[in-house]
Amino acid sequence: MPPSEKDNDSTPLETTNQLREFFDALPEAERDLVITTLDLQMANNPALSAKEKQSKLEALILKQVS
Amino acid sequence: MVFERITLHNFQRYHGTSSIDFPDPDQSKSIVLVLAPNNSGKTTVLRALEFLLFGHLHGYDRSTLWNLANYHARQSTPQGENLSVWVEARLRIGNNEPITIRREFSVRQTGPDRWAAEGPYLLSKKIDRPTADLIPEADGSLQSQIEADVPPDLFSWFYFAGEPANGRMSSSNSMALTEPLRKAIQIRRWSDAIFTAKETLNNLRKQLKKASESHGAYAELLRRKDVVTRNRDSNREALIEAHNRLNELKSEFQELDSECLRTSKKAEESQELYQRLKDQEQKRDRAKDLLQKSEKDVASLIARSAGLPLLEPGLPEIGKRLKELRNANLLPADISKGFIERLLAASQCVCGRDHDDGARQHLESYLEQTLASRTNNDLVNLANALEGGESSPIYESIQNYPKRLQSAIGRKSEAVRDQKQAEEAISDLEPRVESSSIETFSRLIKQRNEVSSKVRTQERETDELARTIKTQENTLQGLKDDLTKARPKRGADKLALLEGAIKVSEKLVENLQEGQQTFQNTVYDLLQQRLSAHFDPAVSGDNRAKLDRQTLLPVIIDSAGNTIKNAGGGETQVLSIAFVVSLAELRSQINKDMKEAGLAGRLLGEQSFILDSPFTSADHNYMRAIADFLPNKAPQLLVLLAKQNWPDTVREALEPHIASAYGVTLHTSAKAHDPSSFEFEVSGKSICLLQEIEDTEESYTTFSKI
Repeated sequence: MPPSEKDNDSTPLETTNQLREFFDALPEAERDLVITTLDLQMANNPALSAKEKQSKLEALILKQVS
Repeated sequence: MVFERITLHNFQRYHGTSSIDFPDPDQSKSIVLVLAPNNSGKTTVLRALEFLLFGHLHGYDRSTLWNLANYHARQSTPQGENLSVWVEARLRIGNNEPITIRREFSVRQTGPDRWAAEGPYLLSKKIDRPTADLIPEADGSLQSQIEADVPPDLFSWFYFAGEPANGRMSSSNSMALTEPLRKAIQIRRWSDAIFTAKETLNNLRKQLKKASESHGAYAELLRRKDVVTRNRDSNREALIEAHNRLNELKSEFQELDSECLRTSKKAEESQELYQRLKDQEQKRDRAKDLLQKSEKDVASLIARSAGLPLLEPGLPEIGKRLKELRNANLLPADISKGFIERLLAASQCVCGRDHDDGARQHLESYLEQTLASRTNNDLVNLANALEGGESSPIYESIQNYPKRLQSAIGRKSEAVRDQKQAEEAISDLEPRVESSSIETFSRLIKQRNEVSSKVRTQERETDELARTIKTQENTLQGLKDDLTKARPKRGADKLALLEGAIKVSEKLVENLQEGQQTFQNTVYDLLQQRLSAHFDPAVSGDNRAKLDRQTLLPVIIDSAGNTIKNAGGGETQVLSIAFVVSLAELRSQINKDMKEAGLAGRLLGEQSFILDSPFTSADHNYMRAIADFLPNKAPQLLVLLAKQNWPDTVREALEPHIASAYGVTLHTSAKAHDPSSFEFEVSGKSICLLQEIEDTEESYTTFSKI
């Protein structure tokens, strides 16, 4: 079948919003921590070594608990 | 990243300053066409952009950088003076305002055939004015922005010569591309986050273990808790794997199920085709019979006519002559009859013998049977028949003859036509019936049922793991309560703090693992959706694009779900381009979603593409198919084409979408070239991209707007 006769009704290019639902379902404190941990991996933190990232996260967690 | 303008200054083959302006991304026409003779510097445009964005090029280091400076420009720069070489662009990084950036270095002759380069430096305009100065970047933040928008690993995916990613996407070693891909679409960010969270958790556990060393009962409870926690964590990871496997199986099942449905419909079509074949065979047999009968009729009519129809024009004359004979009493010609009658009337024969009964009978029989007598009768009958002129029956019979013959010939022609039509229909139907989907359907149903069984087994395994984890968590809760009770008074605060931090860390790991799964599934679904929307309608037949779950790279599958490894005619090229277009859209979407979810990160904007000779591996039909596919697939598409990639079919497909067109003029000695290979047709104009220079000079290149 030539391309022109094919079903051209393409799937709508919409996000499934699964990610937003995941974040929305988390309690605020847990969500903040997930976001912070993800932010630590960003390209604008290239100077941080794995150990430094772990230390930063640990300090944040201990601060949150105390 | 989208561009307003790219400018090359004394860069490689481009002598002086050459610019390409890009259309506004919102404009309906998205293509910038650059036509260029072979070996005139098409690929230099890609290299210039790579140099601008990243400051280096494969094959060049500090000691050979001067080689990127144009030969003519170097020759005309006095020894000891600096020659400035740069690539500049006004562009939009992400969703930011347009910015002018430049990568520049200078070249200086240090001796005969010896050159040195200084730089390159990245500069930008801090104030967005044409007259504003370009200021060198000091802190690397602009470079970070550039690389976040166009990761170096993905440069050859969006800006390519031939095929995206240097054609590696369809090679067997495609796993090598997966890691940069995971990074680009931020899956890697989640893996890294899980790693950091686990490291933090392990460190907190170590601290708690150390702090509890002097408290026997507490330490023992902690040890037991660690054992259960490790088992629980191990089961949790197994559960994630089990869930993934289950999702894969479910997805496989759904695909097979859909294919079964499609094939079952095709099987119904096969039945209908078979019935049509039978009908046509009957039609052919009937036509064969009719043909034989009509051929007989024609032969019989011709034979029975005894040539009479040919006599028709002479009949009036014959009638007239017979009438004359009759009037002259010569018809009936009674000589023989009278003679016999006289013989019979006499008692004796002329020889003197008496007539006996035998002789009399013989003479009477002779009278009846004699040819002369029959002819006599026939002529009398004919004369009588012709007596009535054209209204006589003989005329009618003769005049009807052509109609009867024509009718028989008509039936014969009709039978020949019917037979031919039926035979054509049969030869069309037979192979279609032969490739009946019934067997395929049976195979697919078998596969579907096997996968369905695997899904049930996997579900049981997943449920079992979930139950085990639940039990372990109950045990852990009990142990945690026991730990709280057993917590020694001395150092209780620190122990409580560490216990709390561990609890939070455990939850963080759990949340990140769940988030990663959600994210991966979302990314996979979105990329697959986009890929299908771009590829499936663009190719002939039932072939479809499918994303491999492991590599996240695309493959082509046929209607039965089998991977097609060597798709021909440029279909692989359509797949690769469809994939990178989908990837660009997905990156932009992911960044938007992540930003909306509150995650730090720069918003990626629209993505332009530069395609140098994208028809390289395509046959003539697919050149057209690729050319039809390209328009409107990105906000800006710079397409660089040599003459062999600019046939009429490609021109017809692209011309309506061209926002602007440029020619790359090669300044060279004309003697060494065939001028016709420099002539291009574009927008109804004929242009020549050859400029003759002295034999002794090295050739160079410039841009000109067409």
